[in-house]
Amino acid sequence: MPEPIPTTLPAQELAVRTRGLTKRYGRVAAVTGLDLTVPEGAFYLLLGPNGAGKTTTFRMLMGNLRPTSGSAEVAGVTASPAGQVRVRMGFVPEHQDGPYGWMRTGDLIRHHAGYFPAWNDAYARRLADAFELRPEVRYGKLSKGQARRVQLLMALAHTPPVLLLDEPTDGLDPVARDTVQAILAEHLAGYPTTVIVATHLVYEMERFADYVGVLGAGRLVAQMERATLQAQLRRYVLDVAEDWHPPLEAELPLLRQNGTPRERRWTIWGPEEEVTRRLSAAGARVRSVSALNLDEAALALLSRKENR
Amino acid sequence: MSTHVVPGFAAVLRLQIHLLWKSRAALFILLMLPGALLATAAAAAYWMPGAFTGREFELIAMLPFVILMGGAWGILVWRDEPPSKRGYHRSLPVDVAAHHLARVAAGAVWLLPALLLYFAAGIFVTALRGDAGAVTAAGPTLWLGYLLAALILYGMTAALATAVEKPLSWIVWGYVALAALATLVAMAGTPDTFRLWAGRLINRPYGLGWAVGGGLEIARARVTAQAPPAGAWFPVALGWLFVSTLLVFAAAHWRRVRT
Repeated sequence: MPEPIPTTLPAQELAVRTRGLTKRYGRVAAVTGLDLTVPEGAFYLLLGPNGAGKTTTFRMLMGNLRPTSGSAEVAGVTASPAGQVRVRMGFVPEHQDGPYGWMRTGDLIRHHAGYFPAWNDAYARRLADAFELRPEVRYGKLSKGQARRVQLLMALAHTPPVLLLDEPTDGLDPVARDTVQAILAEHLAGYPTTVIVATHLVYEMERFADYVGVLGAGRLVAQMERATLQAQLRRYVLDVAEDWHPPLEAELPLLRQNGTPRERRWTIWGPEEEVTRRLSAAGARVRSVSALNLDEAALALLSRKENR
Repeated sequence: MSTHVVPGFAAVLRLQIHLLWKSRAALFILLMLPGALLATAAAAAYWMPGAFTGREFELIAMLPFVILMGGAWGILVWRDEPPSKRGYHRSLPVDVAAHHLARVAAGAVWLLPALLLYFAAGIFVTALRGDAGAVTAAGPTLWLGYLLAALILYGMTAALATAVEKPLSWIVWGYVALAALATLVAMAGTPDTFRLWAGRLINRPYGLGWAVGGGLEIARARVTAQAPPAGAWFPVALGWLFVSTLLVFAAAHWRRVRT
């Protein structure tokens, strides 16, 4: 019998840890019993559809939202008092609820720097050059992509141990996305940082990710190394008879299925060799097996009935 | 040693003082000065002739503008930043309540020199009219009274603007609601109790009106060599300043963490 889909990581040094983190609004649960474990130096992709609880989780990690129960710890400190957490954190919000639109971009960056004693002015200037920012332009006049670059600069220039990026490339044009990704890659190469990215544009961040967490309806449905996910979750194309009776799900964790009655395309969790053997034993001919990208993997994990 | 340390309150206060300057809100309060002065002089010269004896006129006419400056400034310090648009604050390494307090304190820092300039201008105009003696006779009580009046009003409106989206609407509708309540009470035929409590809130010996205008009344009595009004004013003004400060603290802590 294949092992269950993991939701915990092996013990190691963690940059972010939550224990039973729960947020309820009356009877509605936004996040339930979240045990997030993000290793130090990891690039952690937090995946999930809109409304899965990603932003709520971020708010609790930053100390902006009081959990109904459970606790959160970031870079060795608890999320309350919030200042202690936020000074160790760089944050790019999902929405452009930008600060002080009347301010010139250069002034805004200088103002922001005043809050962070660790601010690296030389690095900020380098980033500003790389982003081609125009300090004399008012922040409110910037395009969405330009504003995003300013936010990214403000999140990176104090070289925080933890970065929280909430949909960092959402709404950006391809050129702006590319710039954001390039700067992020350069930053990670130069400074040891733990990154948590909440996104539904998985393919953009896939190349960075080494850990993946999948949130569905406020619950963590999977949490593991990306390598584990891609090794264990495979798509099998099967040739079967029309009256074929598939094995029970208890024997073979089927996450997603489509295809035709004679050609089934199944996404199954488990070691490829064992899954293939079981399918063959059940009378199916395994025509091909392929790995899934993270987008497809997240979709498959969220397609499980109990995760919806 | 980690350099990721939380900035102290003094550092945040400095940032907020500078921010108010950059936002040109501080410039606004400085621009209010010539306007207020002009209005004071105009009122003195034309609008209320005979309402007061000539000597103390300019000094007395300053009170409404002092109140206006304090009250308006309390709302202006949060110009374009109602509570729903303070998401940026929640990404900074400062407790939201401390951030709010720093902003209100920064506003007070700008209000004080603006008031001092206004006072200086008032004294200058009075002296130009040949009434310098009135300034001397009024003594420091007048200026202390004005200062406390402005700070009390500033604290109250700043608390409101810290806590609610549309402070001006609250002021207008609050006034309408009170007027309606007063009318209803009067129609119900039990106005005495209402009047008693309203009077206690406004008049001597402990009311807000006395706290705001008491210093002026005392100074005016000195200028006109009349008997000073009964009742202690200074402790009452300090008490209302304390209430005003408490309101600011309460507003600053209001939903500092979303629940």
